[in-house]
Order: sequence, then structure tokens, then C-alpha cells
Amino acid sequence: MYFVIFWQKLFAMRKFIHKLLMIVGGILIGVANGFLGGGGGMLLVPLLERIFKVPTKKAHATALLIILPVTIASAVIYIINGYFKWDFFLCVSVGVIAGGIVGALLLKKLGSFVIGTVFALLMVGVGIRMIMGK
Amino acid sequence: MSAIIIYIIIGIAGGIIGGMGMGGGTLLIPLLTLFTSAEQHLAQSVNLIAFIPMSVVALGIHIKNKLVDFKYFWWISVPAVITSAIGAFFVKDVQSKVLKICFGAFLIALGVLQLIFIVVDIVKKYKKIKKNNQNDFSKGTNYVKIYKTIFLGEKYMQNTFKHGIHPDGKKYLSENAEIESFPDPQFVYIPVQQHSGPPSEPVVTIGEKVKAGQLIAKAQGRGCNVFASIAGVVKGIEKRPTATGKCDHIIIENDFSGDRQFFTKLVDPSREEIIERVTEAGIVGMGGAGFPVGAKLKTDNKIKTFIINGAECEPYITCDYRLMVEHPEEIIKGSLYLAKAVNAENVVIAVEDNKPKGIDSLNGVLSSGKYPNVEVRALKTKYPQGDAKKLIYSVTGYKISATRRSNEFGVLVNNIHTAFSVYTAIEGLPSYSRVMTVTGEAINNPKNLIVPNGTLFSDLIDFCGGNNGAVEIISGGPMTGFGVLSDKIATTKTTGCLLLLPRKEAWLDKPGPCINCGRCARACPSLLMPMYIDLYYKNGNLDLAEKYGALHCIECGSCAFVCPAKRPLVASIKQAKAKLKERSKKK
Ligand code: SF4
Ligand code: SF4
Repeated sequence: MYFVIFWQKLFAMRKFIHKLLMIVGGILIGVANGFLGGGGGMLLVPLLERIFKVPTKKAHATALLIILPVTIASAVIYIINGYFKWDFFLCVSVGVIAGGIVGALLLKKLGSFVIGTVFALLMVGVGIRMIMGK
Repeated sequence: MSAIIIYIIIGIAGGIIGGMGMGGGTLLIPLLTLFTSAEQHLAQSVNLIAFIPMSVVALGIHIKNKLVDFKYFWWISVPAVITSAIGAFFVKDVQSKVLKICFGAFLIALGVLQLIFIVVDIVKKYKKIKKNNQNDFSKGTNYVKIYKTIFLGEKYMQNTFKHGIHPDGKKYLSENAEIESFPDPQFVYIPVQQHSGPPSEPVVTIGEKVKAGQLIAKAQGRGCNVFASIAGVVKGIEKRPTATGKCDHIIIENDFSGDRQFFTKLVDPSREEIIERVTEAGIVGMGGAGFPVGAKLKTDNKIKTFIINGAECEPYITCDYRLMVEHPEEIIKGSLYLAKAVNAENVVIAVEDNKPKGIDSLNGVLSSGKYPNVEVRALKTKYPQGDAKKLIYSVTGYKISATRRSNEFGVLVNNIHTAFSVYTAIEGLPSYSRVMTVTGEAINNPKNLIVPNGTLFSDLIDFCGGNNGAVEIISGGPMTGFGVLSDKIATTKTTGCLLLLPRKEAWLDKPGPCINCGRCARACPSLLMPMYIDLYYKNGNLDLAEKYGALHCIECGSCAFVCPAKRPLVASIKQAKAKLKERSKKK
């Protein structure tokens, strides 16, 4: 009985809960992006897709919009703090843009399940390696 | 120098991963710290900055494509910006080594999360595919298909069917001709049987004056009402040949008074009202089968999806295409009436992807957001995509064998023109005219026309600039239509096309012996082996013909189309089917 009432209350508050989830999600994303320099998108896309039921394509596009100001804010502070080297940055950026186009084209060719699995495993592996340290 | 190259290579690697939407940034950072001397803080910084130009460009494209949902922006972005600024501010006080460990932990967490999502998705997809294929008449689960769908993506699952052929579309002849009204002819010869079912009973007498839209023959049993298509005087009722047989025709001579008679317009009709009006207005499936729509709608099965068939896969025909381009809103409203009549949850308008203008036109109406339950689905262009069961397979993945009906699976299919006629019937117009395509290389001016039922082919040919050396006149499309011997045959509710073919295009070659090449089997969308059915039927072995699936043939004509020996395979399979049906009746 209590359980039912609990669910009914929860249901009545779903708008509020959604907002709460958005704020909590926002805080986590901000921490990841600011403190760890990336990964906000990786949290945001599943949040939009699975909790707010935004269709996949839309979720990716919307995530981009939300992440952009966050990234700009953290990038500005990183630069103020002096983490900036011209030649290094230029080279990597050029690479990233070129690679990005190739990646987007490749995505059409391959199923996302295979890539998804490979990268999930890669991330775990790299993560372990970073914790172990050299 | 070598450092620069390494940086660029790592950038490309990160970019490729990012471009695939896999969180490339998160991998760019460890790539940099592991393979170069870059320090953790600097790597994080470069990741943030390199992300900006690319995402600005991508965002621009997405906004243009209306993929961005602004609803979530403020609630997520504002707290995120604040915490990210705080995080970025404090990061300089953290040692590089500690930061690395934090980052590593974060990566592991993300990786594990991703894996969980993947497993959940695979389970979900697996269930969905299994559900969609439970009616597969080849027994057992098709693991290859499931594997392909999960690992290679959705495109392997739907939006087309197996086998089939790619005949030359020839739609260019008439696809840009706007729909015109054909002026009422001097005489119309209205057949009392324009549908599949018992012929209707004439309710007018010779000499009687009728208005256009007046009931002239009443439905018998599961039949359909027939209306006068012009105003005038009934001159006679006589047996005349039709494209497929013989039946009574009511002959009306035009008195050019232009008198018309309509039903009252229904506003926001209920379920029952729609069915009643559709039956009363004598609407039949206008794709060619001619099954009365009212009878179809009176199903007891729970219908989930209403599919509107806009495949128009036969070569030459363009009447449905013109309707899509010129009357998208009417089609959508008509589809919704049909869906409402059977309490269907959603409507899928299926259109072959060789009609981009039609798809755009329908989507243009849908983009207003007024019709959330309607979807336009582009299908791969392939013949016979428009066959109801092939279409259901393409859209939903359900396989329905020849002995079962689609409504048992919660799906109904009707043609685009039918949806349009339902709309006009709700507005008050009885079904006595239709849009048809008069085309072919042997007609001087191919046209799309609104033609009153009962107009003679010869009148249409004259109106379209005359016959220019036709050796074959076909009522319907080249694949499933009926060749007619004279042009004194009248149009019906189901005649969507009148085709005049010159010698060059007509198939009049003498059949040769079968060379056992197997092309017919590769083309058959019902996965039959037409050469054996043909062979056994011609040898008089009906049992074997049945065993080879003669009854599963949908008479699409693909086999005969590809046969290099020009064997009239469909014709003999049709005869075999007819014999088999006769035999089963006797038993
Ligand atoms: S056997 Fe029937 S279904 Fe198969 S291709 Fe020939 S006509 Fe079409
Ligand atoms: S396509 Fe014609 S020649 Fe080839 S196997 Fe079939 S019937 Fe025989």
C-alpha cells in the first residue's frame, strides 16, 4: 500500500524529478569537463537518451549544444591558468578535425555495436593503465 | 619535427574516435599522456580547446537540420558551467599524478557504463527481432539475421524484402504532368462489378434521368455501391467485355447539365460513421485488388499499425505519386480516418525512395506537428514492393504466409489513392471517379487525369493525343496489368493506368525452352521456384505444382520478367492456381 502511494507521489512529482535529474546531471558533467578535461558528453548522451527518451540522433545534437558552453568556460580557465602551448595545440587540433571527418564517414559504414564494444574495452584498459602509472 | 607528426597522428586518432561519437576526447587525453611527453593538465586543456571548433561546425549543421532540442539547455548547462568553472579553477592545485589516477578511474567507470548499455541494448534488440520474426514460416530462429541486425545495424533488418527485380521505372513519361480533369464524355459505360465480390444490382431503369453521384447499382452481400459518374439519361443495361471478363454495364448518355449529388459532409466523424460512409460511398481498394474497404475495416482483430501503400512499384504508373505531390494533406487526413475506423495506433505511409518529391511533400505537411501518429517511411525501390504482404514485411518485419490475413497480425494496408478517396468521401463525394495515368511510349501526350468511371479507353487515348503505333494496350501496369483486345473497354474504380506499348517495349516474343538458369527463382519475392511450378503444371502434375508452392505465388510477374527464354511463367502459374482452387472446392 505504502509502496503504491509512494509511486503515485513519485509520478506526481515527475516534472520536479526530471528537473532535479537535469541539475544533478549538469553538476556531474561540469565536474568531469572542468576537472578532468572531457567526458561530459559521454555522460550526457545516455542521460538524454535513456532517462529523457530523446531519440539517438537528437540526443547527440542536443548534447553538443549543452556541452559547448561548458567546454568554452573550462577551456578559458585552463588557458588563464597557463596550460597552453601554441605548436602543440595547433598540431593536435588539425589532427582532430581531419580525424573527425574520417570518423563521421566511417560511422556510416560500420555498425555502432562493434565499435561501441571495442571502445568500452579500450577505455577500461587505458583507465587501468593510467591508475597503475608508469 | 617528429613530435609534430606524432601530435598530428594522435589528433587524427582522437578525431576518428570522436567523429564516431564514442567520446573521442576521453581517449585523446590518455593517448597524449601515454605516447608523448605531454603532461596531464596540458593534455586536458588541449582536449577542451580542440573540441570547440569542431563542435561549432557540427552544431551549426544539426541546428539547420532541426535536430537540436533546446528544452534541456538551461537546466543542464547552467549548473554544468558553474561546476566546470570551479573544477577547472582548482585543477591547477592537483598533482599531475593524482589527476591521472582520477582520470583513469573515470575512464574505467565510463567504460563499464558503456558496456552495460551495450548489453542492455543487445538484449532489447534480440527480443524485438525475435518478436518480429516469430511468424517466420521457415521454422526456428534465424540467428544469422539476428546477428546481422545487432552487429551491422538496422538497415539489414527492414525497409525492403528478399529477392525482387529492378525493372526500368519509365516514370519520367508522366511524372511531371499535373493532374487534370478529363472532360465528361458523351457516353459512359459503367460496369456493375468494379470490385472483388458479387456484382451489384442495378437500381435504375432505362430512360431514367440521373445526376452524377447518384446511386445506380446497389451492393449485394460483400459488394460495393456503384454511382453514376456523369449527369444524363440511362440508355441501356447490357453485357460488355471488361479487362478481365464480362459483366453488365449501365450506359449513360451525357445531357451536359452537370447536375451533381453529394452526401452531407461529416465533421469529426466517429468510428462507426467512418465505416458507414466508406461502405455507402462504394470505396474499394484502388491499388488494383478492388476489395471493398468498408468490409476490410470491419475487422475484429486489434489493429496496431495502418500502412498506407505509396510504393507504386510498377513501371510507368504515376497517379499515386502525383496525388502525394499535389494533395499530401488530404492523403494524411484520409489515412487518419482509416486509422480511426479500426482504432489503429499509428499510420505509416510507405513510399519507395525513387519518389523523393512525394516524400518531401508528405513530410512538409507532417513537419507542422499536427499529426504526431503519422510517419512517412522511405522504402528501397524494388519490384514488387507494393504487394501488401511484401510491404508489411518491409515495414514491420512480419512474414505472413499466403493462407493468413494481415489483420491477424495487427496490420492493415490500403493504397494512397484509397486514403485520398476516403477523405473525399467524408467530405461528401461518392466514389465515381479516380486519378489515372495514361502513358506508354505509344501515346503522344502522357497525362495524369481525373477520370469518371465508365469512360472508354478510346476516349482517353484521343484526349491524350492519340495512339502512336501501339501493339499492346494494357489496363493497369506492365507487370500485373491485363492486356486488352479492344479499346472499347471502360475504366473502373481500380483502373489506375492505361498503358500503350509500341512494338519495341511489348513482350510478344515466342517462348523458348527453359534453360534452367534459375533466374526466375532468384527473382521470386515469394521464394518459389517458378520453373518447376511451370514445368509440373504443363506436365499435368497438379500435386507437385502445389508442393512447389503454386498457391504462394502473388502473381507479381517478376519471374517472367527476368526469364531469358521469355517463358510465360506467371500465366501458367496463374492457371495452376485457378485449377488448384477449383480442385479444393470440389473436395
Ligand atoms: S512465382 Fe509468382 S510470386 Fe514468384 S515471381 Fe513469379 S509471379 Fe511473382
Ligand atoms: S528464368 Fe526462365 S529459363 Fe531460367 S530457369 Fe526460370 S524458366 Fe527456366
